[in-house]
Amino acid sequence: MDDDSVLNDDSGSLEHQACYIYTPTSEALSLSTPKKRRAASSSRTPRSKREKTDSNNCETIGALGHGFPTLLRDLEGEDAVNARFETFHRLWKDVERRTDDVLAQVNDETLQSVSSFVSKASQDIYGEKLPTGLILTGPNIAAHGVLFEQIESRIQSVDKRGRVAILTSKDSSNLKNVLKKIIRCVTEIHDGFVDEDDIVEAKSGKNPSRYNYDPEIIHDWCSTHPGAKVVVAVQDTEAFDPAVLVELISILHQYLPKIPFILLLGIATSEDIFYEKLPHSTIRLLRGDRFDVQRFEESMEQVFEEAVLSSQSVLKLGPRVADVIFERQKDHTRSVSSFVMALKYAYMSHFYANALSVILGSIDSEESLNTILSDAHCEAIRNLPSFKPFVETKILGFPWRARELLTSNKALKSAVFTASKECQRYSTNLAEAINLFRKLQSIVSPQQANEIPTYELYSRILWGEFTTRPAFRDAMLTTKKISSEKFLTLLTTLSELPSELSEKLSIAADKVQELQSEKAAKGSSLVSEFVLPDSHRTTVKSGRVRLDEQKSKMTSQDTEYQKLVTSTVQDLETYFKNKFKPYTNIFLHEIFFYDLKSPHSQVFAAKPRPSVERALSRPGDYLGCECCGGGNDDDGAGIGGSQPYSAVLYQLYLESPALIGVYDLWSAFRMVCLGDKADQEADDDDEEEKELQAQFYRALAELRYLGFVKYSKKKTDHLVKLAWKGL
Amino acid sequence: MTGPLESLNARFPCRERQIDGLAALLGQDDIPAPPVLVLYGTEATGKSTIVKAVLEEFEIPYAYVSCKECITARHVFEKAYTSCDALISNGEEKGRQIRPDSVNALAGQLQKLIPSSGKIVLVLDAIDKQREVTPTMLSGLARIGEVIRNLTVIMIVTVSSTRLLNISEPPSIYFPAYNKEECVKILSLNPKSIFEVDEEDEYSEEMEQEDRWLWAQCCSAVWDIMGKYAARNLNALKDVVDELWPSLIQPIVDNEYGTRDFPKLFNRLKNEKLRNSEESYVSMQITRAPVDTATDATPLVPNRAHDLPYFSKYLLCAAYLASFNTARYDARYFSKLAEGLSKRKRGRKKKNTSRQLNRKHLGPRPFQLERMMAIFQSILPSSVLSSVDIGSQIATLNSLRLIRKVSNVASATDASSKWRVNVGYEYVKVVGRSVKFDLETHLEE
Repeated sequence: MDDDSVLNDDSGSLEHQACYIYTPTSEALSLSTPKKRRAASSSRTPRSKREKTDSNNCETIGALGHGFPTLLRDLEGEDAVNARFETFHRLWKDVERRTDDVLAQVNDETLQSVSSFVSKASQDIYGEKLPTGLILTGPNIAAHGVLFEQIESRIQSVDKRGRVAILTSKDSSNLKNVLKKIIRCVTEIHDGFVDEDDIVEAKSGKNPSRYNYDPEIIHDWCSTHPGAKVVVAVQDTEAFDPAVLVELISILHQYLPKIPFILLLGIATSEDIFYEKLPHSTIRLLRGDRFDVQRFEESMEQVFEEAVLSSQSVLKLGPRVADVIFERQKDHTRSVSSFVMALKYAYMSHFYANALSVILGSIDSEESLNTILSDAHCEAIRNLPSFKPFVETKILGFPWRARELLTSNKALKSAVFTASKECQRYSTNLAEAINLFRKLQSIVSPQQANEIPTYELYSRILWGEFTTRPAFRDAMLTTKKISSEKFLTLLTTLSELPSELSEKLSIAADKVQELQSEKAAKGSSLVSEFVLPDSHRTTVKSGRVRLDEQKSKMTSQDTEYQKLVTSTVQDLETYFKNKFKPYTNIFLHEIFFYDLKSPHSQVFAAKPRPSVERALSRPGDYLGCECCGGGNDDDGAGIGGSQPYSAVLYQLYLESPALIGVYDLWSAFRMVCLGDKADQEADDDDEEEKELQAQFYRALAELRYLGFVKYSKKKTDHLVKLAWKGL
Repeated sequence: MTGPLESLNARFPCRERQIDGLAALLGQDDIPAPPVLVLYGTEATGKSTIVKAVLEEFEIPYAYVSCKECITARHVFEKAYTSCDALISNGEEKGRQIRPDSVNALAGQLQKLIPSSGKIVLVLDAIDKQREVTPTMLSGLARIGEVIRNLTVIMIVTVSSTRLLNISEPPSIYFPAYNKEECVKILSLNPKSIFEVDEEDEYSEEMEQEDRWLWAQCCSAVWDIMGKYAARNLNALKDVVDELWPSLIQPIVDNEYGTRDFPKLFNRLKNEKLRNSEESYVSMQITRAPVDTATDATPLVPNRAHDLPYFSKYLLCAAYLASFNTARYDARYFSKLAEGLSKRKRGRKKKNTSRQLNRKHLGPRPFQLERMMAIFQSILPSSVLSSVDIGSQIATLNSLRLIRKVSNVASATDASSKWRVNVGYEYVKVVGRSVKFDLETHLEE
């Protein structure tokens, strides 16, 4: 922690600060008016300089319009602060663009099939049935809106097949409203669609006026737009009132001969639940197809490869942060967009709090690196944990180099440049090796590859312990055991991937091919000793006999093949062991791998309820005063009269049963607060007593406001306990 | 008189009585038609089709209103009026649009509109399926025919009863459901052909006979195996047969079997197609289960379904348990301390004879959110601090309607709000199994 504090003074403060008290200064208040802000952002030159108040060092100067603080105990130059800000934006923009591209393609397949379904759907195929597309969207609700908007724009603007009306459960109050919404969506003049506005106007003047929920209006619209289809898309079918949905389907079906309706239903849970909800007579009106949206694991994997593994992403996630992020994904959210947010937060906090992150901005040119790194930076680099082992290795071979690194900033800067290159090479190699390993796994044991996505291997690999894991050993062992045909495909696919092994592998592939054709001429296929005979015999002896038989049958090609298999697997193993080294071995890894987990766990998984409970049951933790038994030595500070009144009351509340008598509570409260004096006879006129009573009522009101109690209807003057601690 | 009746009977077999009845009531020029006529019968028994055909055959002007298309009662009145108007004025322009908004107004307007001579029929199809039924609407509509002498109102309903129209005995005609022979006979009117008939090729007598024979065989076989559940009426039967036909005749097209090898053909169909997808016919699924001959890559992807987050699954299990266990036994099922206690209690438990039904069959009961949270914490393998993420997962489960709020408390996550699980045992069991949680051991018997 000590050497970290120089670098990460801000994030460090996050770790031990229990709560953050925001006190707006007059300046901050004046700045918050929109007019001023606009003026500030419109000014071109390096952004209007303004003072920024920080919670710990109040007179920090420098931090510019962007709000990045000056780090390194204010020794950081203004240029460096700006450079950090700019680097953050540049790098994040790049990552964001690439992830957006990936995400745009994620739904592409689904969109494609939905759009072809819509364009094909006609009366010839579906007859009297209402063409229906079930879109299995998965339980990540946040993504549904985006998906349906994409469907709408695809059908309406790209394909120009007709109009789309998107319905959500909010519209499902009654049938009239639903129809009104559909009519509005269909007849409103959108851009994009070729629309003869005036004809509609003229026609509607001639037509008899209709009720605003009459589907005939859509019929009128259709008669002016021949060939246009009307797509009704229900975004959240589960939440949509089933009674209204049944009515809606029957209405759509009734009008099907007149209006080319197509129904799209978004299903988040499962088809079975959907079928349970609707009567058979309704389902019989529907006929169509189902469309699957790409699963979370697949899209997540793609985004991960693009945003983290790709060599274009300079800043990588460290294993601890990766664990926090992916655990949260698995346990709580399962949504790609929340991963992108977490990644952005990692970038932000890295550049915000780590002064040395400025190096990431100028890894390509040594010159700019030399200019941006100040003496303070160099000092900070020497304080990095990875600096010490780096110098120690130098001492053995080149003691003068080690001395130079410690004394000369120039030498250090050039070392930084080479080290940054080294870091990049490490991550490129890592990505390459991971890619290779995944390919191997998908060929050798597809089941396993499917179960564990890449991003869950990632942190293990970074720690350098992956090669000792059963998953790795299994993969290597099964590689030996696969059939020769599979082995050949493995070799050819692996040799196509860019890696230092590719040449060796392609030579091996050629050789296997040769051997195989030789063997095939004899009418059998290549076998190695590793391929165990599929015997069902259980005794060791009979197995051995079989093995011996097998061995004696082996030809020269087979032995050669076996040698080849052994050497190839050996090569692969050493290759992986070489590449999957722990990242902590590298000098400057602190800069290229962001690995502070506490900001993430605090920001993304706020815990309001445990915080409130802790504040009330152990107020000393937050107040830090001696009177409240703030010491951490004993667990459970216990009730004390000096604690805040609501805290006292809350602790009494915790001890009470589900139904609490107010008078009992009051007498207990009085006992605690007055201590020895409580034994004296209560005096109505006693000022202290009166005040205490008022405080009691206030504390009780507070508990009620926080939702812990409510008044009981069963018994007078009793309270119902609503919340238990620790849930 | 024989002309129209014969052609009608040829077009709609097995409906002689009904056609005769309609013709007798409506088709006689010299006898006035009854003011109201009720046609009733279940779905797909030819009510609407036959009444329209009869009216057309006898050239009686009629206005047809499908009440299923109408959203409100006023909508029905408007449609009835405009269709009568269109019938009489033959598309002439009207200066002012009239929108009757009650039965009285409709009667008045129709009285003004309809000339005093010549029969006119107003057909109200599926009037009992109308969405906004007011108590007097049906009887009011039935009496319009009494007010306007030459108007006959025909009401098509599913079930007729004397209460329906509040008229003592309206003339009514019953359309019974078709039985197997009738269904097959009707469907045999338009058999599908086995071979694609090109324009040059003559559609020979022989081919037609083959088609007819095979089609009838197919229809009756399908009725036999699915008539009870999936193909209960004519339309449903036709749907199923239409769908199975292409795969049935595939071997004939491929020249594997002759056209008369029906048993072989049908066995093959049963083994290949119905085995996989019979379920989908029974449960009326929208999409048929794919008949994949080549099982390509499917075993590699065992769990294609979208997955809930890990804690959501536990939350759902907790909600199910909270709904189906009684609160007073919670200590027995969830307390980690009460292991010994529960055993002792169980031994002493008296046999409860008053309640025979399994809790599972009684439907979910509401529970307080706090109780669900307590169960959630106790069934988790390792404890987790409640955070925003847990709250948002509860909200997500609610909007997926896996659990739902039943009380009207303003705040959704208020500890005292009442909730209920909204999915069945099977679903929750599968969800629980995916996180290795055994639902059964925690569930009250």
